[in-house]
Amino acid sequence: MAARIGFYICHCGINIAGMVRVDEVARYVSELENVVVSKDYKFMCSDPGQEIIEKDIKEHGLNRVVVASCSPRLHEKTFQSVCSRSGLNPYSLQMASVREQVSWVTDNVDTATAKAKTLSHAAVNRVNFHEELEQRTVTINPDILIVGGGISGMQAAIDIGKSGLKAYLVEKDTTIGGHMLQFDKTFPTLDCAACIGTPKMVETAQNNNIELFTYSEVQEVSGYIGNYTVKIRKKARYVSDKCTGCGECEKVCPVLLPSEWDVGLKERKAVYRSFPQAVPITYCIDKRAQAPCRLSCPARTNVQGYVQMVKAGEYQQALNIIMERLPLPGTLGRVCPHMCEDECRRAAIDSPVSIRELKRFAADRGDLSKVPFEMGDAGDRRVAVIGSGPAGLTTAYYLRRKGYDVTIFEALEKAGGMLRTGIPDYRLPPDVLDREIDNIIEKGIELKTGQVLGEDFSIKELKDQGFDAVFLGIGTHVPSKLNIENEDTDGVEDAVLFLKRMNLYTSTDIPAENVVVVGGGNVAMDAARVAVRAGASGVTIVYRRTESEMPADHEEILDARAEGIEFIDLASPVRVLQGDGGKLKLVCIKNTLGEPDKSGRRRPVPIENSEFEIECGMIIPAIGQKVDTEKIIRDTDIALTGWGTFEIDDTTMQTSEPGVFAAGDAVTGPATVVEAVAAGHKAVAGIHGYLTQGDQPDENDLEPSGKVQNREFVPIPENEPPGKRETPVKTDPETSKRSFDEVSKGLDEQAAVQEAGRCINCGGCCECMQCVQACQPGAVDHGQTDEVIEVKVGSIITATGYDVLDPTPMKPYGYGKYPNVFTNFEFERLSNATGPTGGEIRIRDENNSLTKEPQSVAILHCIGSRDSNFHEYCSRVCCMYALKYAHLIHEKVGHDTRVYNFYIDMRCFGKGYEEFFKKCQEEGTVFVRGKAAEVTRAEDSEDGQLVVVAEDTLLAETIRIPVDMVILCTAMEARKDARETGRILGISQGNDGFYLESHPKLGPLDTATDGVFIAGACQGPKDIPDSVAQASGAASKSLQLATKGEVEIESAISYIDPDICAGCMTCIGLCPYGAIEFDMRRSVSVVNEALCKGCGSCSGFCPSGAAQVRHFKEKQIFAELSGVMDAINNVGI
Amino acid sequence: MNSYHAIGRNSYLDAARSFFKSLLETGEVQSLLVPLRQDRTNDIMPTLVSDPEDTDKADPFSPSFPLNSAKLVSRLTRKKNRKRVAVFLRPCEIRAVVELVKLKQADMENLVIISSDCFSAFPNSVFNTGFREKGEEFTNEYISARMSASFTDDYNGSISEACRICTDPFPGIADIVINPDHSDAKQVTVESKSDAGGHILAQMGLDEAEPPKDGKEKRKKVMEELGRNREETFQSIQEQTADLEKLGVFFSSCVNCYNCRVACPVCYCRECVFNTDVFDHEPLQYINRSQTRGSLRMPSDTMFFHLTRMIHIGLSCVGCGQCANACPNDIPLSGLFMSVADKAQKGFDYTSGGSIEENHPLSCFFEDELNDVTGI
Amino acid sequence: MENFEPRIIAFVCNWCTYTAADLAGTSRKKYPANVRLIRVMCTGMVDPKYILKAFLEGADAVLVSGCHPGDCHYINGNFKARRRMKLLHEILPNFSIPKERLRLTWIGASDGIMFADTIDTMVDQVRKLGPLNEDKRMVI
Repeated sequence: MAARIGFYICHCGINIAGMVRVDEVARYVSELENVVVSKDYKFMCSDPGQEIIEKDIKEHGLNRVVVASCSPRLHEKTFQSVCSRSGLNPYSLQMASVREQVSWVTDNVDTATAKAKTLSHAAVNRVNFHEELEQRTVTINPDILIVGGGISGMQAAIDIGKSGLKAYLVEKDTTIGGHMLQFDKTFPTLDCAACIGTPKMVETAQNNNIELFTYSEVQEVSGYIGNYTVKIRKKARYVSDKCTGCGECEKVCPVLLPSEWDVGLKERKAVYRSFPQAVPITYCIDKRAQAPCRLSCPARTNVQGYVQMVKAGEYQQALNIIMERLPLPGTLGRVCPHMCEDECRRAAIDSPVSIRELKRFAADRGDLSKVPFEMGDAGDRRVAVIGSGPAGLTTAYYLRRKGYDVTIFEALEKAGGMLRTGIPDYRLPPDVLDREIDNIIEKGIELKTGQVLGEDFSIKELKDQGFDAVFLGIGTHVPSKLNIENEDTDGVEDAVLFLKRMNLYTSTDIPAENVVVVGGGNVAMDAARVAVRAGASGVTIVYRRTESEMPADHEEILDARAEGIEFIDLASPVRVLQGDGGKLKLVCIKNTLGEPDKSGRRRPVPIENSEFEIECGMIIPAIGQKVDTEKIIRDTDIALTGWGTFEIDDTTMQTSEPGVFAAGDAVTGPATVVEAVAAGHKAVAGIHGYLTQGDQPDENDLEPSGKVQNREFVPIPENEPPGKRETPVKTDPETSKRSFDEVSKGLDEQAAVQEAGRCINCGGCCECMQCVQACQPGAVDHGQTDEVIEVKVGSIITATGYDVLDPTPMKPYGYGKYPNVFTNFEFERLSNATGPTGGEIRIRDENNSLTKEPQSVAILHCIGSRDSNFHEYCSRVCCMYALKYAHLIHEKVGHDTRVYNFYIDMRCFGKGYEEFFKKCQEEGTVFVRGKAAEVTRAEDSEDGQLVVVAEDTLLAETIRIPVDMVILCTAMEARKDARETGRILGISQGNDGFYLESHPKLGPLDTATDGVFIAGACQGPKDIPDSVAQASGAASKSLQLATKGEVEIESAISYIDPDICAGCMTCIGLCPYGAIEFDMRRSVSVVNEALCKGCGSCSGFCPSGAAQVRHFKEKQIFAELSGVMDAINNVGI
Repeated sequence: MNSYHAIGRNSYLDAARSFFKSLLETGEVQSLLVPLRQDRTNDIMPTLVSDPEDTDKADPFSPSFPLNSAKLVSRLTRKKNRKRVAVFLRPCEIRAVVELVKLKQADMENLVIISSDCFSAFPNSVFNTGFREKGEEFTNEYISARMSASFTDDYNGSISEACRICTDPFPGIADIVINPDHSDAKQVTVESKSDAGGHILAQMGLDEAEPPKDGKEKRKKVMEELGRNREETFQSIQEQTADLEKLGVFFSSCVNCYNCRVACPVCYCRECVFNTDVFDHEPLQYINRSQTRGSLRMPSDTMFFHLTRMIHIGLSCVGCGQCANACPNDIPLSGLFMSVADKAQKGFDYTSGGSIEENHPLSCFFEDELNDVTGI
Repeated sequence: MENFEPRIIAFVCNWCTYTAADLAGTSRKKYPANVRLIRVMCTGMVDPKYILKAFLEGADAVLVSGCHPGDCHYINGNFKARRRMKLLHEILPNFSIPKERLRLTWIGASDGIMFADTIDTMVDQVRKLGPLNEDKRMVI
């Protein structure tokens, strides 16, 4: 049936009529097609106005209505319900905004009238094509989510809980309570925040309808009003709810960190609780990113752990921690090149912690036999470990711990591999090595010495003997050649062999003449220093580059020098000459440094005819070693690399031969002990994987626990004074060079504890596991991981609160520079009974501890508020808490204390506020009208440490007021993560960063997203009473929805015409809500009406127009468009 | 993966036909879609051949190009099925298939694409008057001529505009490429360009051959020449359609028959929006509009239709020229659409038919991109 | 040319730019009467056809305006709109419809003043460009 349109233009008093000739517009429209009635009226939205329409609909049988008035965003609903009331579909209405878009923005009556006509014409054209849409309602899930557990969040939760409905309360901190619980007293009534706050906390926790998620964050919200699905990330707390809050863990925890709750004025442990009344009482362990020392250790030793244990005097536990990853603690405590120390973040303050020395200290103090060794069960599987160097020993020890039956085959008479043959006694005393090897063997490992692979037995035989896996840790014991003329003359002996015979005491004779060592690595240093001890009259080291390129550890080089060893650098040997009387001559050529090579070190370039000779009795080349593979290759065809080392799978350490694994120097070529140990661990993982699940190694063998994703290091403490790095006592070179006794004596106890104290605990919790032992209920669980919980709710209340502005950037106020300039929060804690001073207001003394009573205090208002450089808005609460401070200072410190308030305007707007102001004035607080310009150090003439400089705007003169203490009333600002959180919850921010309410006056609790409400300071600066009021308001908003049980939602959603759709599926990819599915049978796309929100991403693309948004169909838009253009053609623009 | 073979017979066509025959005989594919000479009429129409014997009428190299077979490929593959089909396609037809695959209108899973370096085509009108009746001798004659002369030399003015400004006459995505042999007028070289292709050729037991030497230079030369043609054509098109008024003149003979749309391989809509109710206006609207504006050219919405088509297919246009081929009033659509497509595709640095992986520019977006589009 | 009054059609999204326009109104910010707003729920539903239609119906310029990146009420509709506008910017200039005549802007709900200013500038620019000479006989 043809459209019968009624048109109504509103005067809106004079708002429209004052600029638009409404009667003329009405007349113009009356001429248009299908328009039955066209009227103007003073206030269409008023009851009589609405009645006119209703009457016309009945009398003239209208089936379409156009209202030209204010913006549809104001009154569309009003007029739609007029239609409904008169039996028309609400979508039979179209509005033309002739107020916001015409009368209010135009200053010429003719143009305004013309514009009004065009808009009306467009609306009339459009309404012709409107279609009836049925109202869609969805049921409301009665459960409600509250984000933020501050006073607002708690209040909302309690209100909902009391109503008998379910509330989920998510708080990102470890306790609910929020900022309010950090305060001391509350203005103006001065009742203590805790006294009125903690009962709220308890009530929240005890209400059965409230489910608490502390230390949790909302990660994702999907769905729509009434039907939200929320993913909550429950961060690992590492303490289960078995926790009774007894605090035993806290006592034993060695790690001290600044307490966030006390804004850094106090320290807390790594296992902590914000404050005694925290809810829940459950402790929390503060784990951060894994400490760099631990990460940089090839063997992933828990460095921070044992360092803390040394600090705590728990030496045995320190050793236990080391033994978790290092089976040779004393050895590594002496010879490890300590990559950990290179990464140590303490260096940012002074110098790295002497970690290796602490390891040695722990090893020397602890008792190996007391180290726990719980054996797993691996059935009766047998593994043969060939070679007893660090790689072999590690593999054997940890395989044994997994329960394997392990046999070690060692070619020499004594176990230890390079540790024994390569490292001289003065660096690694044999008894230390023996002790640690014995400890490993004692775990039930069979050691067969004098067994040479390829001679006494073969890999094949081992397999025949029933070994399920074989490990090759045969190291590199074949010297590399110098490749120079007669290097085989006797008197030339490679360092490897030389050190071997010296260390094994097979023969220790050596010509009492000059000895030349060729090379710059640790082996060269060892050979040289051994030669010295063996009685060589002089020892010279020849190296082809300069000292700075030497691969040897720096300490080694220094010690060598100290022992009188000479260095000739930039020289390469070219040939050996047979001198007279058995003497040798080493002919060398001088080098310069050329371009850097692959290793990044500049390569030596020989200088033409710069040859020179060195007389000597012995030449010791120390330029590297190779694997001795010849023997092995005989009976197997294990693949080798170009370097002659074993070729292995990097993850499983398996060689080309199934069941045969390899690690250590034999794989990497000559490397460090700790790298061999690390490789051993990988081999253990590989072998275990191979023998159990028969596939990939177990992550945990490679990366033991403590892995925490996406967290940061503990920041480097700012005002930590630089300290001295403890270094070990060493026997003086003159004595040391004469004997093979150990040169370094290590650290003494006091030095060690001192040194351990320098650790800044980058990783937070050090995983020393002391808390695990201390906790009777067994609540501590370091293995805990974040879990994601999904809840379904009908509405969401956002009460995420505010942050406090950090005044550090405001240099003139000297915060961070002068110790006695405090922020308001610091003052709250100072004055709080649970705070650092137990509630006594004290300022910092010479040694920075809070002991002194302030004689005079200045309170500076509007720090960052009402300040165009920071926040233009007023933070609304500062004036009042400033007054509160003034009162508290007088009350607690004494009434003679001088207290000054520097204010711009006193804003005491609330109930009882002005009275409180008066009271404080009477108490003698001095009020200076004028914002403080600067805080400086006092001059001698002035008593007090600080001086506040300000302009007293009443006296119109600059004043200087000396005080002991300055309190900065810093601004309330939006949460740092407000944007991120807002995106998750679908709330936008205003220019000030706070969340935007749907209407500044009439919609303070609603947001742009239906079913998402805001309460408290996340919407703008607020005091407690306002926050609580808003919270109850938001709660009742949510309850409204819940009790109604259903809500009308957008009917204007997408529809895809199956007769037109070509099934290209592009719309499926474009839909932001995954609301379009593909119907395989008809091969067309279909809209899921429950999910569609009507954004039209699909219709914007669909070339055939199969996808259309109802009420915004092409035909309707085109009609509107033509209407506008026709009208413009008629009446001009 | 690339293997080269040669087949020698009495003529190019024979050689090609014997290839198609043995292809079907391998049983690797159930059917073959190939241009085939129709009995009596001599029309060359894509035909789905299943009996190997029927390949003796195949005529893949003829300059006849009655329609873009991509649409047929869509019909053959749109819904999944287990039968495997081989199709002989011109490069522009392959590009169209690729675009249709992205739009879920075709599927390559059971498709074997055979192609050859394209010898260009004549407009239907030209081919049907004078060349069609000459029969298959003409095809051999035509190929020889084209091979000896410059590849792009316009065979006495009969090659269609689209082919003269072709964006790429060499098959990009194909399993097997079969080409007349330069050196020997009686043989074709067969090259496998994919594993599938290689596998199939292996079944056929062809003799190995040397890969053609001059390939690269030839292509380079051809592309340059086509490039020059394109520039000229786009230039003159630009002048003819410099503004909406000129564009109106350009389209003034359009009768809204929508043949161009029907012929277009990438116009994939099942029903064109211009046939939907959006565009069936109330009788009164025509009269009103005529009244407000003095007069109304009918059929109306002509320019709207063509501009919309540019928006819809500009990014997918493969330059096959079938739009022009189909126009009853000889509006030189191919030049215009190809020049617009050129701009559109460059704008998104997108090549229609280039690769399946490349997303259609309007089917995706990034948060941080195209920042020059906004702002005032 | 002096007395030429540009006709500008603006497709604006309900949540940001339309709200901004309302704000311009409530704050009584005057701006040229040359623009006509067509409200859509999201710029993501603006079919390029709408823009062609506007031009062919006699608009001298078209404005499409929505929420700032990241603020889209429908998550990312504005980004899709941006791609479609890009395509139009590649094609329409061929027919002497330069980018100045087809604008895409982000105007947030609180940017009332910005909305008014945008219209100001646009009207000036288009006035300089002069009327868009379209053959209006070929479209309804």
